[in-house]
Amino acid sequence: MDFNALFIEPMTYQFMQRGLMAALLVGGISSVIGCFVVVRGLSFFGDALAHSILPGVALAYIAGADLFFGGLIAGVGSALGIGWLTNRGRLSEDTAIGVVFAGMYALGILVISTVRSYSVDLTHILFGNMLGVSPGDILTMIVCGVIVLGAIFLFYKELVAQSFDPGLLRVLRMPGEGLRLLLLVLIALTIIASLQTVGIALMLAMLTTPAATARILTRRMPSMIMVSALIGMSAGVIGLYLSWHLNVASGAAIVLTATAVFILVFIGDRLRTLFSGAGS
Amino acid sequence: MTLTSTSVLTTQTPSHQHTSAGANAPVLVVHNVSTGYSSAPRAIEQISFSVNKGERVAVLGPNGAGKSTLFKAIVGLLSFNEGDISINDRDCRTSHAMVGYVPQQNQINWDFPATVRDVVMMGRIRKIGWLRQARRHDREVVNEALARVGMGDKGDRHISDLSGGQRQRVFIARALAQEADVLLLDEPFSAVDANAEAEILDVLDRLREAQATVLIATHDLNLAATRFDRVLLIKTSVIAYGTADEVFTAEHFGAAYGKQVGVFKGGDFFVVDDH
Repeated sequence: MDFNALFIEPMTYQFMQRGLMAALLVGGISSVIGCFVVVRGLSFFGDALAHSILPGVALAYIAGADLFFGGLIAGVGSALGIGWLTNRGRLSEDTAIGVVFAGMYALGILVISTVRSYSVDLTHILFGNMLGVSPGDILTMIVCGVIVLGAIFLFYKELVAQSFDPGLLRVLRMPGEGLRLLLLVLIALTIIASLQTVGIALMLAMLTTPAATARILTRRMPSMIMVSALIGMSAGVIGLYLSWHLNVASGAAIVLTATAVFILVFIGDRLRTLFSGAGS
Repeated sequence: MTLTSTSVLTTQTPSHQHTSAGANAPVLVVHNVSTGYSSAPRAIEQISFSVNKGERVAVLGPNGAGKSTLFKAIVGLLSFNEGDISINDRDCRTSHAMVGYVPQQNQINWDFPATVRDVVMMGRIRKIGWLRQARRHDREVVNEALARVGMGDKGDRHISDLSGGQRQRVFIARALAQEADVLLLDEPFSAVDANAEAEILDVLDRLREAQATVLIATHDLNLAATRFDRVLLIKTSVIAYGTADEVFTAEHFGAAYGKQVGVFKGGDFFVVDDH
């Protein structure tokens, strides 16, 4: 196969062009916010939050409403609920997450089971379908992306300080709790923007794998965010092409591409430490 | 558990609780403060003392005496309804950036992707202001803070590459960059070796020359007896406050440490503290 057939020809299709935009947007947004998820150890939260969106989406589907707004309400509501439950140690974070989000997910399954033949749309929410991205979905992603990346840019130093040492914000009499909730809401927005492409089940990988890879390669937050975004977007594009050529699910292809990059970097880093350790 | 015995020899007669201010005006005034947690609502009770500018105070007490609780109340990590805490005559609940806090080291994620300079700069986020970036003045303050703790050449180190003493010094530098009036260090000598201890004390001596007011919670009775201007001995409430000579009596330590204190004939005593 030549270059043209490999890379250019798929892009003659409009749905592939939209898929490419979606891959870049989702890869970029989720891997940037993912850096905060990774350094704060919020992976479990991210995974659970993705699942908790299900009832909102399912109910919106049944009501014939916009799936995005259904997910948005359920996601932001769950994020704020968890923030409230864990405020000042009322409940430990993992306990609150386990209770609230498993309940929400069960509610979602319950709602779906009432629909006799739920259509393709709902399975796409679970597993994603990059090739079924509509112009409206792209717009949603752009809006979510502008909000998420804009908020991170504007509140960067506060969010980083709050992630490193929450106590400092309180010592400085700054609204650390508000910043924590802001971060949770931004994660929720990212998940909703990514649902159509990678789906609930694989969302966690987009939030953690590129950022975890970047963490190995870098030593400061700004460079970690840059590298993570680069890995996330590359994985999105490469995964999309793999999905096209191999005729496999796009979400899974993207996640596995990111996972492969992580494994390579991880092994490379181990080898480097091994050799530099042996050399000294 | 390591069992260390600290013997402090003293022949002083017990003196009364000492709270009067010296020639200087007090910087920090704690008045009748009681607070705690939901599990222990009155971890500290009716605590009152004041510290003058440039003084270095050791806060002593057995485990669970409320040393950390007291510090958290002063820095704003723990709210309190009873009593008042003021710094330079301003209520510390409404004022900000006046207290620098060096938390216990095990509460910090040392794998966080940040350099020494990044961490010290965090002390300035309030001074820099919302939606703004660090300016040249902020970078100068950070460099100066690093120099004052003897880390001027280590600003670009990753925080995971630091020794125990260096970690403490980074957090002291962060508090200095914050331009705080009072510095609180929660057990800086725990879990560090003798070298690190000497490093920290050296930094503290230099800060004293610059008239910094420093409170340190510690289990090290020898250090408390020799390297501090005043000693605050607490067990939920204040047992004694004053110079080491005034505080270090068998009577006071018996009240604070109970059966962990042994008394020799003639008034000498020792404390067995499991730290």
